[in-house]
Amino acid sequence: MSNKHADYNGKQTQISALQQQSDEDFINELYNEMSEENQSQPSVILDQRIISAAHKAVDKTNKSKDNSNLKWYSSLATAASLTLVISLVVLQQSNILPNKQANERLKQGIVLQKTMTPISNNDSFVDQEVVAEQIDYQAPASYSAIQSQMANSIAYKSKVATKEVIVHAMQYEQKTQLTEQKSAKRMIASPPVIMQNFKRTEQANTQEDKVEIMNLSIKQFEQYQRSNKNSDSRSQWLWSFSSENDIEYIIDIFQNDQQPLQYRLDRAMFKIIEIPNQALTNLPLNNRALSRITIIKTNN
Amino acid sequence: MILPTEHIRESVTDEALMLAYGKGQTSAFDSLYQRHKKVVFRFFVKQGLSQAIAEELCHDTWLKLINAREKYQQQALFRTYLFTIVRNTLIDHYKKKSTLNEKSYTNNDTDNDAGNGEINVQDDFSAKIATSPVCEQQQKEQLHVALSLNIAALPTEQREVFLLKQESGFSLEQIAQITAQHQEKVKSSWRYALKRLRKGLQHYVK
Repeated sequence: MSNKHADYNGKQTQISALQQQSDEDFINELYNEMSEENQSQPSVILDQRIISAAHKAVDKTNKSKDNSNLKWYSSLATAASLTLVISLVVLQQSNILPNKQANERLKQGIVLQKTMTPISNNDSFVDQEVVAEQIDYQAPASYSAIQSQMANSIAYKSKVATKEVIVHAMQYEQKTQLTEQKSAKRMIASPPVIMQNFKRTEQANTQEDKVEIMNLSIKQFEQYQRSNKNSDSRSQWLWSFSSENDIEYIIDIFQNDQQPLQYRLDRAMFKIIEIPNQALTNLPLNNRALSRITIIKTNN
Repeated sequence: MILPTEHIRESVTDEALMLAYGKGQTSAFDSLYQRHKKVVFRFFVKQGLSQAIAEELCHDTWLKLINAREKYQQQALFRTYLFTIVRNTLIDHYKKKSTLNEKSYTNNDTDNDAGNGEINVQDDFSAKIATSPVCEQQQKEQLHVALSLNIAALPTEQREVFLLKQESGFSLEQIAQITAQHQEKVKSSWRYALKRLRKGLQHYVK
């Protein structure tokens, strides 16, 4: 039974295969005849549309690539410009480049140098109080930066930094004292002032001066300023930082022309003490960072 | 890749042309288009679509190819790739027109199934033509018209397989790749399409 069934299935498969082959042949023949007759194709307009679209797409891609290159260059240029501007601002803020303020102070420095006249050693300072104003240490900085090569030197920077320490210390000392006087407003507004009474006689050069630290109130200081407003150039000296150690600073005071005297400035007590027999010679004024001392004549 | 001049370009493969076009060589696309524009167009026309719609679908197909030029990779024959796009475009068209509601025919669908409704209509039409007294030339023309009508009346899957094989010359294996179907199913669709066409044209064959 099973063999008969298998034979039957085999015959059916053969018949269907033959049928399919005959169908395929018939359809193939008919279809090929029809295709030969019917050679339809898209219109010329469609051809042009498609080909132009293909060309435009490529052109657009090329343009966008060019634009992306331009964007890269422009962003780089912007970044470079920003970096340049920022660096210029930073440099200007750090006073490495001369600015308008520095130029003004340079002029002041030159004037100061010109108006500095020799002071006779015989001048008596018995009745005078010397107010040392270490206020403006940037003026000599800009002055010397242009006048000489000191602007960028490490020595110069260290001097300026040391001066800052001195000034800040002075300010702190004064503020403390003013607080004791219960004058907070005056304390804030008060400029750093050291009052030094010392007698400058011929004998004084051989002895240590008697140094007294005093505080001036704002009113007193303004009064002194008014009274010395019309004072000549002799009332102003120049001083500069020379060296320092753990105890004191050594400063040079230019009382007369190009020949400074060295003083010691005690770190703790802020006493200014003249160093005897330390008259310096051949110190070029141009290469020094200078500050100003104002001599105020009092009625006492 | 820079392709050689026009007379040598005839021997360059479709795949090389497509890669060249992807890199910006527009003349490569011109060659590709000239090679395949007729086949693509006829494939749409044989679907029973009008000339205008066939052109519109052609345009869409080639635009899709243009937009995908940089992503093209030589993994299969270019023609397979092209007709995959063609088929997707056609499906999109049917979806738009909401005409893709024909029943899919399985292997169990025989000549007696629901699909016969369409064929029967064609049978009536063919019977009228066949019985009318005409000369041999006219009879041949009528046979061709009947063949076109019967092809258009095939279910979508069968028509697709039939045209891809008969019109575009793909093997059943390639058609399976294009339509993302199993090869046996494609073979089955092909067999049923032949049967239907044979039956639809039986009045013309003595």
